Amino acid sequence: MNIGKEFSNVEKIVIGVGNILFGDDGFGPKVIEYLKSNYDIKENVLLIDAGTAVREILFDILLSDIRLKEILLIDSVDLRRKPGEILELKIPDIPLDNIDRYELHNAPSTNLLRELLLKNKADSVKIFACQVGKLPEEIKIGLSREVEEAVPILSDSIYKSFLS
Amino acid sequence: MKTITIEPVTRIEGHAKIQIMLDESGNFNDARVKVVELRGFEKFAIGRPIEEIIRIVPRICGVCPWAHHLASAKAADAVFGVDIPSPAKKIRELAYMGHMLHSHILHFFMLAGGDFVVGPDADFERRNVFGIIEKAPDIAKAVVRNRWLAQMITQKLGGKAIHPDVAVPGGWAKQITPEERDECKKMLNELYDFALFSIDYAKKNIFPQYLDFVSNVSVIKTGFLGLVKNGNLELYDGKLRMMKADGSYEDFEPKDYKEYISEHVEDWSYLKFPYMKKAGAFSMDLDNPIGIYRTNALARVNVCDKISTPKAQAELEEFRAKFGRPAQPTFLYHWARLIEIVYCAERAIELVNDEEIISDNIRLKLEPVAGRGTGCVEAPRGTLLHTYETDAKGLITKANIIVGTTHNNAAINMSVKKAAKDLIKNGKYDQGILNKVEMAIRAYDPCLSCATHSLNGKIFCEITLINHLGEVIDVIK
Repeated sequence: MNIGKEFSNVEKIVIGVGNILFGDDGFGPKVIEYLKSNYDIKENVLLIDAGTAVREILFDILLSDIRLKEILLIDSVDLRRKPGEILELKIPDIPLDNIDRYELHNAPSTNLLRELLLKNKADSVKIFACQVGKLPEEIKIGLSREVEEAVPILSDSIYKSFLS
Repeated sequence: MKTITIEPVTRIEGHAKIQIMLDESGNFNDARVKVVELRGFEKFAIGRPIEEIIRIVPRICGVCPWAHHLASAKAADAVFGVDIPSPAKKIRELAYMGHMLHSHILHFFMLAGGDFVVGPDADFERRNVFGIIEKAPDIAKAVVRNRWLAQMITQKLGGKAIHPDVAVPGGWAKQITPEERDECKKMLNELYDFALFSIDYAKKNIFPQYLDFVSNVSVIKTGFLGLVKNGNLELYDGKLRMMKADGSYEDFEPKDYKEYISEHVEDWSYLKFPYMKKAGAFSMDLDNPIGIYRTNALARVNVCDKISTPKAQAELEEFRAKFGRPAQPTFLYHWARLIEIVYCAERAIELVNDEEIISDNIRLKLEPVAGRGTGCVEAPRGTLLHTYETDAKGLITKANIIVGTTHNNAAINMSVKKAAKDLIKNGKYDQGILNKVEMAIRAYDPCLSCATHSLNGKIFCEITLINHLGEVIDVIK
């Protein structure tokens, strides 16, 4: 059973994760916006600005009959690196007892990503995350300069490596 | 005194930190639930055009975007002092029924479902959606299918499902075509069947084996708050009804909420504790609570006199025959949520069959005004209030939001206290007991994701052990 015809021709999904109301946390949605605005995206690619609703999307993919070639998650992360640095988080490398440390919006997304691979829902599941600067404690829209500069860099890399 | 910290509570939205303090004998002494709160909205909103705020608020929470969107739009209508066209009201409500179905199905089957379908004592690794897939794969697929249908209804009506921007001050921005209406009809027929299946399945396969648990664990005695319209269960419109624990109640306009609700502050929690103002005091004492009320599904099912749709009304009558009015057991939230699933499906079918749905009379032309307005909807997780004040240019000068989870803050704390008190004796506890304490929180379906995720493992992975002298004896990260 397909969950809907919107997914019927889709082979690759790129999901931007994060809350644009909290500064650099909005990196993922910003990358999706940039990809939509600056690249010719093929019909077999679905770009989703998930905001903070990523888990629901992953749930639905996991429980459905969808079989994808590629799932890319674009998120922000705080691993105390240089702000704006882009990291690829390898799912098999994320130890279960560290799930919360690497949590991707609303536990148990990491489990879900792992399950997507285990259940063969996609040939490849990748997470690209940008090291944030200081996240605001109160609502504040807009990325820091360092993180803003990372948006076109990662977008271009994603397009050339996965979407072109 | 030893403190057991369980965090994060899995499968509720966002993060919560539970501390259970035991006395020297290992019995319950006290418990606290600390949650993350959205901060800074009021300051952020000032100076922004009110129509822009309506488009931004869905970003507050990826789980309840439609609730924020519509409460905000209703507040804007009130600022402009307009009664929007009837077709626009009906389209808004229809879209909202889609959102409620989408959210409630998620909670019952995917978030809470693991506890009941797989079992509260099952291993954590299987007591979740993966366990459901294993134990009931056909249901898992039906859940995905029907959540997708509910999502598509909101998308057909509003163009976007996750971050809607279609409600505007004075109405609705997108006319519904006859083709879109017909597609919604088909989808709703399927959702209706699933709604009836869901409550029937739960009553036959889930609730009977947990009835004793549901009726006796984590039972607290509180008042309730929820919308009603002519005494009927209501999610989008109407008056607020504050019901005391004895069942007596008072109705009021949402804009007057400050006359009925005060806020208590505890120094250990960022989140405030709203309580009944007329109670004159606030206490979370389990034996003698004062001023505490609850919102969300159980509250709505308790405060209404009846439900306007036949199948849901029949379910309400059966529920009341078993548990009375107001029903107090915390775990009945799940049952009440299923009654609401039935109501939402029935109500959506009524609305989609109304010819006004495809009318082009959906939006008033408005000019900026200085004004004040409150918008209220029943979010899946409880009563949601947005209030704005604007200047003559239509720019916001003051804003306030009270979300459903905040209303339930005191009750969530009390329910966890009660569960811990019931289940932890002489220092003995196991994973099953701790799971049940978590379940007490999950029953409220609290939405705590109205904040950044921040990925800060240092905070979210911390387990603190405190001895009876108040000294931290261990911190596990």
